[in-house]
Amino acid sequence: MTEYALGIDLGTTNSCVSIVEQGKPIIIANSAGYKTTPSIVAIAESGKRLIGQLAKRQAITNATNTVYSTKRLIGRTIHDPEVQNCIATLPYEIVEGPHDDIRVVMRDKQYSLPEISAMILGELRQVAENYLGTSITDAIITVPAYFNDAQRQATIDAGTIAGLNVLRIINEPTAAAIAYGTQNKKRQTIAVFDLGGGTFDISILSIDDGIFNVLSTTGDTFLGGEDFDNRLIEYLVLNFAREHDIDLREDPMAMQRLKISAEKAKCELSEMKSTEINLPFICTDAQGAPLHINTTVTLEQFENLVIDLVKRTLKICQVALMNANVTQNDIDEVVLVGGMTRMPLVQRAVAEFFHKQPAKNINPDEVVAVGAAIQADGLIHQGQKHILLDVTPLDLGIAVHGGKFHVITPKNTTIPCTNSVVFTTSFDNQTSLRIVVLQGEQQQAAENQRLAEFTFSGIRPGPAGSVDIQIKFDVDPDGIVNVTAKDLQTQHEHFVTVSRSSNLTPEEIEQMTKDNADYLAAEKMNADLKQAVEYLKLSLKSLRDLNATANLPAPIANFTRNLLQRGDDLVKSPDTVVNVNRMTDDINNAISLINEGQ
Amino acid sequence: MKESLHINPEIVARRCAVKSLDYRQLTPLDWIVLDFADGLKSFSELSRLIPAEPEDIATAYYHLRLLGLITWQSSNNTSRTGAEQNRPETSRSGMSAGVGQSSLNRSSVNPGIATQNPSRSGSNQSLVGVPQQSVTAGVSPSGISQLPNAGAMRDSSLRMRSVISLTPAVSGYSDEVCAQYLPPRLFTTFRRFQPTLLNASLDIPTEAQVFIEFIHENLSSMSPCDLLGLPEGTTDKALIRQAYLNRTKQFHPDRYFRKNTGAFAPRIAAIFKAISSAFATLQAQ
Repeated sequence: MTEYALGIDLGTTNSCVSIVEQGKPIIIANSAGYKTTPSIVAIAESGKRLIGQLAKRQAITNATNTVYSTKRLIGRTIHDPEVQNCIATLPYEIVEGPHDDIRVVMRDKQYSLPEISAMILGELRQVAENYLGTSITDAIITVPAYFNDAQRQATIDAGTIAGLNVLRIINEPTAAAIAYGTQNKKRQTIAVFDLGGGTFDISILSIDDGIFNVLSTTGDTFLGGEDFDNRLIEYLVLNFAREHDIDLREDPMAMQRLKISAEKAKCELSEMKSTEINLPFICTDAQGAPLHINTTVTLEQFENLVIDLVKRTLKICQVALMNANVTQNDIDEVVLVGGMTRMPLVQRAVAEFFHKQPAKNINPDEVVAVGAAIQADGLIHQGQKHILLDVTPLDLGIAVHGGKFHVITPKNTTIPCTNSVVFTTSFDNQTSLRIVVLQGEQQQAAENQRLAEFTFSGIRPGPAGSVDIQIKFDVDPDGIVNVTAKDLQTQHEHFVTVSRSSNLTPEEIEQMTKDNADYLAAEKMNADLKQAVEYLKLSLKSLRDLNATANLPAPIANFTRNLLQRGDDLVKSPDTVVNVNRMTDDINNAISLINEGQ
Repeated sequence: MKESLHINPEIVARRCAVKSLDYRQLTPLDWIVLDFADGLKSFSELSRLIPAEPEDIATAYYHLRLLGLITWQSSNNTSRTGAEQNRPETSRSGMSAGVGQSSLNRSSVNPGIATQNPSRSGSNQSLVGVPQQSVTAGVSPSGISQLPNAGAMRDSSLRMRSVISLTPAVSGYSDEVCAQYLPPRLFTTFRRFQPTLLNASLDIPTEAQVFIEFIHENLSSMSPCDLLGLPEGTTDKALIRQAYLNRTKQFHPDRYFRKNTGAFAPRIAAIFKAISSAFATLQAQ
């Protein structure tokens, strides 16, 4: 039997799933027929989960129970200033979880962000399983290249909760490069410009004989299509406030409607010179009279609103080129990824910056999922044809004396890798050393993300500076960091695996996995029960017809009436699939007996 | 040399034909001597092949003899070679270089010696499986080592034969195969290598297993160029890059994703990391 593995692009606004079937990657359309599924989750009044298109459709009327853009929050702590910004603008409730983490509230129930992502992953998995008709558990999930360790780990947790076996987390631009490079086999250096819903990434890669070597990667996790939308929303809100002296931001439903029409207007402006935004009855004034938004936005107006965002991406591109030690002229091809790259302004800016037109014939919404699927397929099957040499996206190191960040594994180091530095004790007879493992790019230790903390004790006492302690960082192909502290004289060592620490405890993850599986099982049970009841109804109808037409002897007629009565009761209140099926069998037996008797 | 020597007690036990022998009595050097003394070989040849102080070799030699693992044999048809007669003072500089590098072919040897004694070359080839020129290749002609404390053994008419027969495991690989993994400098060392981890049940070809174990054992002594299979001093960036890509295909851990690699998994990872940093070093030059 062929084994399949999913490639999942878990996006901020839209997600996409792909598999390799008979050597060819294909994008699988969801039940609504779309190749991308909105990354939106809602809980309906009935308690039923709504995911994707269904959730998006009811977002306006159910704004507080509809969760979106969770990718911007995943793996962060509640105190993160960026998160606080989001809390101010998002219509759903965000509360603090037990480990400084973020929980969202839908219908009075708290959900961790990996749980939300797990629902989307589960939906995509279902889409693929429906298509193939087999169960699939292996998957590669993509993340923005600039995601830090906690964000990656939270994504793995999401996969676990969804019951997936996450083979690996790979970077979105790298996945896009794989998809591009397997079609265009010549030796080349490419730039992948990925402006998605919530994040911006730029990666420079060289592709050579099936080896994808990431030269540098950089980006901004808070720069994406939603920022473009927000600019337009702000503009509309400001104009409305000027005109009517009403702040629409206080009305979640109005904001939800604005958000949807802003996104639509943005997309339309990729193809048209101007677009109309028409939102009747957006709110009422002090006297209760209805107010409307009815305005036209031209392409030029919109471009002026977002030009600084585009310039920001180009600055980041410059850094990426510098890190990769190449210039614009060394880049053979520019690959555009993410829906935002459809915007003419972005395309113009990129073409101007790299001195060449971006590659055509690439679908910016699908290319990431395709690359992930190709990589997943390559990993699980014999004969890995291509090898991916990815890099560490951020500096890794430890906090040293004076609150400084000492980098041990610099960013853009090819993984797997091992780096070590020898430190010494800073005061006499020091027997223990606190080691704080950090990730980030700031010079001050406190401004970077803390990955782990441990105490290396049992150091041989001696004068300050006499004991040599080696700190070794080991990054494996999955990007998991292992840290070893070792007294070089005594060989005494302490080993810590860093990256297995997300915001959730293993017990919590286990519980969430169970909850999710239980929910899905109950859903399935409901569906199965409905199906069984339908079959029972059909059988009942046949028996009833037979009873009415055939002239049955009295005992048999009594028996049949009794059977029909019990069947009708069960249709009214079905208990379990087994009971319903048994009833159906009984009735079918009766029908065949009667037919034989005649 | 002590660092790179890894003696697996299990293998030693297996190799010991003399069951009653307590293998722990053997030092690493004893083992090397035993390996090289496998078959007929003169003492001077032995000291030429083994990169250790002659006194130590002598000690190991006597030790093995006491244990009954080596026997002396008198040989009448050989006489002292010219090179031995004209031997200069003990040269320790060449020795210590060899020890530091742990590469056996670095021992200080006068290349002339091997060819001056035709009676020896035959046994040499059959015993160690290394052609004469390989033995002498890359060796500095700084002079022959002397055995100051072992006067009796200076006489090459004394020959020895080890009691235990050892299996020459990797001598069968051709230069072409070796070149896929190693720079020519290391071929000779490789051919003397005794793999201990071979396991047919793993999803790694035997050939790759042998080379993985060898490279891993010698990681600390391999230069960046060695790791990439390039001649020392290569500066051509394109060549370096190509070599790196080739090595990546051979040793990237993803090649063996979900394969049963047993004890090789950490070794493959370690080798790849070393290759990566070797590439980074050469690129930065």
